[in-house]
Amino acid sequence: MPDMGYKDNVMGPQPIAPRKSIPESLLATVRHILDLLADGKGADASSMAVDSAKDELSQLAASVKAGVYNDKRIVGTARTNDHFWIKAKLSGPDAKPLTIQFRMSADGDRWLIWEASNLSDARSAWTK
Amino acid sequence: MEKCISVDKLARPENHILVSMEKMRRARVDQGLTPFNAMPYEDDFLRARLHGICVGELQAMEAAGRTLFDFPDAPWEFQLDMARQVWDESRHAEIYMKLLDYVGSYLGEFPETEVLWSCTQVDDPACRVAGINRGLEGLACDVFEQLIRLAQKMGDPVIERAVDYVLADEITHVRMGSKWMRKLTEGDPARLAKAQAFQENIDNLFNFSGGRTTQEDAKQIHQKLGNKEVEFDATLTIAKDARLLAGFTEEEIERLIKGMGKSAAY
Repeated sequence: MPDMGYKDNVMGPQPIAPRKSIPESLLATVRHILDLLADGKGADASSMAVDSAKDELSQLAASVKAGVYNDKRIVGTARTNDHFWIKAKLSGPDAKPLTIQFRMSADGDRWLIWEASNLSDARSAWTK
Repeated sequence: MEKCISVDKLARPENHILVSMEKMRRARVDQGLTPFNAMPYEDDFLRARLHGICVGELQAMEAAGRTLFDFPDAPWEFQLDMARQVWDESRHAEIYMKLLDYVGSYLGEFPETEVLWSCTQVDDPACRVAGINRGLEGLACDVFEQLIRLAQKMGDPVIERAVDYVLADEITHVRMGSKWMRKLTEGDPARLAKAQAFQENIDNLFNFSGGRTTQEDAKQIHQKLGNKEVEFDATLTIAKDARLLAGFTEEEIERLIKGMGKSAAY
């Protein structure tokens, strides 16, 4: 093997900007919403939705069986400017896993739900 | 195996967020933004643009692969060109993933949309290369040329050179598309017209409702990038020189310029 020199001295381009992280308060809010849905308290979650998303959230809440999900995980995040997309999964030993997705934004110190989708039967990561 | 597959058949990891263009449009409009992609005057422009290109390169790689699979009776040289394009696009995706890291972003920071994949939904290789290689890769020439100018203004040789390397490939892809659109439709003017119409639909789809202009007509605005502030285009511009290099005719470019503003794609 030829001597390739001191590789420690070879540096690639260094980042020019820091990463923007997903706010911890948003993740905490989503975990709370997942708890509400899993406990059958969908109406409480609906109060966090903007008017145009209330029906969607009610439909989503109605499709969640209360008391059957013991594992609630946030599996994916993305953002469009200041709106955040959060994908989460509920699962339990006796229930078909439920994958849901929210679009949320900050409103002062609280978070609003702009969209709520049930992705359970969607293939891949596609969300219609 | 199924041909002309729809976007929901693309393999993506569970943590990936892929949304329809309509959902993306709504997310932007709900924030008082223009309905299409991030514009040069937005804070997130550079990250969002590089991200959009990166997922576009991934879809372009998948699209060239699917073209190879979908048309097994196409000439062998056509298949070789498509295979070469798969390899090119995979390198582009890697380059853009590194650029994302460089600007403080990462694959998955923004959602992916299906809009590029929708351009593969046609069962004729001539239309496919007209739409993807000439329509979409022509658009890539525009987007990359603008990014190179932006990097030059920022004094950033990393972005400038990386994007320039990719642009060189895109020019060959457009040329490839022009060659095959003509060869595959030789002696069949109706098929050629159909391919050109498919490309025109795609050109119109990306006119961004007047958010796209010639470089000369682009209004200049202040843009803060990292710790630098530069004057830059407020619109997405058409890269006339790169398009000429890629083999577009003056007439085609003129038609593109005249068509600007007539579409309300998203």
